[in-house]
Amino acid sequence: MKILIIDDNQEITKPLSKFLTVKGHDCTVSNDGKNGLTLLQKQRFNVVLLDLALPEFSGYDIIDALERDDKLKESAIIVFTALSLKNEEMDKLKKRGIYACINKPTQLNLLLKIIEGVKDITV
Amino acid sequence: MENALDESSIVALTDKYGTITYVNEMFCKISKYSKEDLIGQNHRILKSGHHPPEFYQEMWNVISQGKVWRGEIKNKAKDGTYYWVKTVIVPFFDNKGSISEYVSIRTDITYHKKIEEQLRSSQEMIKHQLYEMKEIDLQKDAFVSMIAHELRTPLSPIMMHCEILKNPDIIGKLNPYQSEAVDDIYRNSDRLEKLVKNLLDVEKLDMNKMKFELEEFSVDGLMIDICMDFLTVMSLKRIKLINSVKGRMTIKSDKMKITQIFSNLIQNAADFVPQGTGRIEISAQRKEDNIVFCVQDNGPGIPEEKQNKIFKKFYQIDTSLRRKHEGTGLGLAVCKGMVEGIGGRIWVKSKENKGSSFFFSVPRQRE
Repeated sequence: MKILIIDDNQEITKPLSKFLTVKGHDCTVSNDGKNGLTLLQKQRFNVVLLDLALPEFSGYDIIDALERDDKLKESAIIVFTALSLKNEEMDKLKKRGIYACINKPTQLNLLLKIIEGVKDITV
Repeated sequence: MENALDESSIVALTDKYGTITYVNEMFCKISKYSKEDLIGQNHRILKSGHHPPEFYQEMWNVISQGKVWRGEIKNKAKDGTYYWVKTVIVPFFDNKGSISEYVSIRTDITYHKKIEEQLRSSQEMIKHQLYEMKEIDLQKDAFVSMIAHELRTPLSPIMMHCEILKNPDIIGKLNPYQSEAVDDIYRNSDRLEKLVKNLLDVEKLDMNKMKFELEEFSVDGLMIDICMDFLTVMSLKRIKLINSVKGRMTIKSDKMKITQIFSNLIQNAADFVPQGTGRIEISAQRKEDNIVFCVQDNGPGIPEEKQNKIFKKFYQIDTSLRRKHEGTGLGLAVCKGMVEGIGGRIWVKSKENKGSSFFFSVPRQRE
């Protein structure tokens, strides 16, 4: 699967992309929100692991921009955040078309299971 | 009749221009003017400055049309103090039908007004305090969320690296010491992560913000899943975890919360059971319309006098520096809050040196 990881923390993107690559996936990393959005506008990914608290251009900004371009459902967007999202907020995100919300930290194997459960997205 | 009125009310007469022609004793008493001071004066002498000119204009419009005016007026006494009167002004007519004089009958309502004023200012104060409390609540909420985020962020790479190090496909096999070290790092990080979760849960329970989601699920299936989740940790600690559920049962409740309650109780028990011979047994039994779950251990037990305190927030049986068991004292408080949130109750049966059994009952059907 083609996976895009958008997270400003390299200490997270490094082990995460390493793990997913070993598990046979094609990983692209962006440590910057704006750059991540540009990548999403140019290429298609099966799955996007999206952090919310990104400096300058946040995960929410990316979601808003994709929604405006009607591209929110082109990839399975998995919000991957250390923020403690309230249930209502998660429901809202899911209603907008977000595939899942996962709290950091999480077990990599669990995350893998969720990523590999994504279907119906072709690139 | 006149006497009765004079005894009970403040009475004055004015001509059609508002010049005072008669005042009774009560009028003098409240206004602190003498009859001589008042007679021949215009009624304006009593103006307090409290009411705008439109107020008096409206009053004159009514009475000069021959109608009765009713209202509350704040007046100023001779010594500069203020008083409130409930007032009725009635116009009187001469033979030709023109207004000849006005009779005003007043009642002293200064005390009522004072009480009203005090009530209003208390209400304002309460409103302000409520607003401030809401602000503090919001700030606290934001602060807790921020702290949780800051604590979880460094835990993510630590735990991810541990998982990668433990995966021989990625970096090869570790030697026994390295492997044990990685296990220790992971276990401690996991402990911290759970602590953050408990802190957030306590906050949610305090603020009544915890949401409960109901679904129908199999109780025996849930217990098997819980045992599977603890398999590795229990075998590392050489604790025997026994699932003694027999038969099939279903329940409609919050599966995630019941799992979390079990998880907290099992972790607690695992911290207290003897090393090498630790034993934890989990069970569930149907009792009328409830399922009663139990986590039983062969730990040191809880002294009777402390049993009713252990579900309180931050309570620790042993808080001394030499205590054997660490923790924040939040786990059981969270369990209690969650059990009550799904309509059940939690209790403990324990004897010193004879182990503990934690029970919690949950209604089988909850709408």
